[in-house]
Amino acid sequence: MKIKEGFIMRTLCGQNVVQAVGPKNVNFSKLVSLNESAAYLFAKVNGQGEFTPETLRDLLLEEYEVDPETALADAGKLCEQWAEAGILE
Amino acid sequence: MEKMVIANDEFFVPVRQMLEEGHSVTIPVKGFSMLPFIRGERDLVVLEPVGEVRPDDIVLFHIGPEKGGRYVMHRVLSVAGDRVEIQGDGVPVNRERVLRSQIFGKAVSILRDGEKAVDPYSPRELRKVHLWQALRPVRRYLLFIYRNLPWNRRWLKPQYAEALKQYED
Repeated sequence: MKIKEGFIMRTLCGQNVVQAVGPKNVNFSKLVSLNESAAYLFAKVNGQGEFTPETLRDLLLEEYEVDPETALADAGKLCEQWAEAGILE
Repeated sequence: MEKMVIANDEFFVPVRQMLEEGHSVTIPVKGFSMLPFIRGERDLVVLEPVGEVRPDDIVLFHIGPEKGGRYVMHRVLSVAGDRVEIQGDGVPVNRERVLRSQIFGKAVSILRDGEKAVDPYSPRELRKVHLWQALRPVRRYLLFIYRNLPWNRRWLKPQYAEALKQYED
């Protein structure tokens, strides 16, 4: 899977949000808000092509003190949420 | 999906920036000051950078700090040189008088319930707008009836009627 083209992250009211920026239209009606670790992961994988929950797990392990199982479970959940929000392909 | 509430000025700063860079922008609508043509919490609006400002245009503008310094989207009543008079369709009396430089976006499409695109300037829509404007003396009562229609009461909760009061004299 990978992040669809045309999504950017910005800060609104102190929250990190992901937003669709098309060639013609910028959509402010659907914003996906990210917590700190999700924002870290999004910044790492956006525009970097394919990734798997394992990729996200490794990125989490680089940055946070967490055991690999928990990191993988969280990464899996996050991928599901991103898929549901329509930012993955 | 969870609803994210963002302060008016903070939300519109990037919106304004995108418009100034020449993008079109889709935004959700809050409030009920453009009833019955735009329904807050239900419809989306597609905005484009604004060229010439004309009567009937629905425009996004910034009102001065003396009125709270907020971003508002209402309809142009008249244009005299650099001075523009604006009023919300759902506002009984109050008008805004702003300078052209305070206007930075024009609604080009209304997405009813976020989906069905309506051209707000089609002859059919403008006929409805002009009829609505002709009925301005009784607008207050028409809005009351509109808000209390059984199929509108569900989404126009009392607090929203409350929000409209700020526009009344």
